[in-house]
Amino acid sequence: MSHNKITVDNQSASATNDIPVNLSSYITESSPVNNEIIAFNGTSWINAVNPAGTGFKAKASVFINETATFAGSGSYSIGNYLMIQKAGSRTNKIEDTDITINPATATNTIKSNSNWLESIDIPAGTFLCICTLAIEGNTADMKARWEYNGGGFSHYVHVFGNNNTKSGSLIIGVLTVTSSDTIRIVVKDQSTASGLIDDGDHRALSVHVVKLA
Amino acid sequence: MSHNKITVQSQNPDASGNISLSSLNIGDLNNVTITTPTANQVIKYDGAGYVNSDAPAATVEYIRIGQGESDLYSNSGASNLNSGSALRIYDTAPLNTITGATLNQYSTSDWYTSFSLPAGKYFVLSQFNVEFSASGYIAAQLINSSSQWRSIRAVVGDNASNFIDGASTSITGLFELSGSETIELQITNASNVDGTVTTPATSTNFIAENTVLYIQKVD
Repeated sequence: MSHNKITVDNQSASATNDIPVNLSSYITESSPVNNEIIAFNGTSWINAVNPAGTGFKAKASVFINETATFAGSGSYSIGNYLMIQKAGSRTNKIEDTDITINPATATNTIKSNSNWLESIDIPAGTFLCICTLAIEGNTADMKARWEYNGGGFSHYVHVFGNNNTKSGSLIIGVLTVTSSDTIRIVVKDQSTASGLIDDGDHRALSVHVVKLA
Repeated sequence: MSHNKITVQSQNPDASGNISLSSLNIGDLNNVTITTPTANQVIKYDGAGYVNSDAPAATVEYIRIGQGESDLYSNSGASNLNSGSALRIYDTAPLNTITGATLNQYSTSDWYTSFSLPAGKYFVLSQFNVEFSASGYIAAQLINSSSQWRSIRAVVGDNASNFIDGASTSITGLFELSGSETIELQITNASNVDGTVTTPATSTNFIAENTVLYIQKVD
């Protein structure tokens, strides 16, 4: 007479006839290392690096690169979204998987042009949003701030083309949204309209979006 | 003849021979040790098994060079303040917690010429200033050894608008490196910058006191 050998999750009985059950029977485990935690990856529970990370997650960034050459035409009106060059061959760009950098449209800004962005779609969360503003035209000026679908969420800056010591150009906003939203820099006031910013002045223009929580 | 009784994780079979694990808590598993758990703790691997623990804190890795200390720019080893030259930054106790990053200084002068970063994503802030011999400006940005831009270009000076209209006076950047790079704060444009800062007799502390670079590694 033969007896079936009992195993549980491929574990055989010990000398005391007990079959141990490890956590790996309940999760999809792969070579754990110190300080890894149990996390759900959308499909199953796994051992994984601490999702807290640095607490500072790069979501979007756009500024031109060393090879960019382009001209601009047209001028801003109050209420227009700021256009920033986004063409891949001309920019240093970060666009995370849950972020969408939206092309410029005549509805919201100077004109429709897929080489330029006018806004950024973000998911729920808390975000640090930074813009360094520049304008086109020595006599132009522009007052601007960050806005989302609910309105403004940053301080204002008012940049003057003929004397930038009048105002700083750094725009910083922190925004918490509970569902997806859209952020943009909006022209709030001006005396003399800035033109679309060409490659020269665009060297100082940028947006950066970091997820804080 | 007697048969050995099999148990599973010390759980006995019932009358029908079934071994239920429903009464087990996670801490009862063979390689898990739970000690008085508290809210928001997580289960982590400690090298031997799984234990309950406070959630590991976010890891902040950063570099800071420049804290307002005084030193003559003539000690920096720089030969000029022309376009294409690194604007060197002074710090007797720079901070560098980025794993794999190095700070490169001129001799042992505490004047830093460049820094090297491993692959990853980085956020950068920088401010700089120089003295001028007349109305002028100086522009600078982070540029790697292959001349690729790693930040916007900022400009300071009372004639800055002659270079960029309404430009930023501060450097910002958010960039991703696919491999290690050596990067410097490079002067890209200059007008009426006081070049005597490289002459010991007339050098000043101005650049040391007014220049800073902050880099943070991000996810």
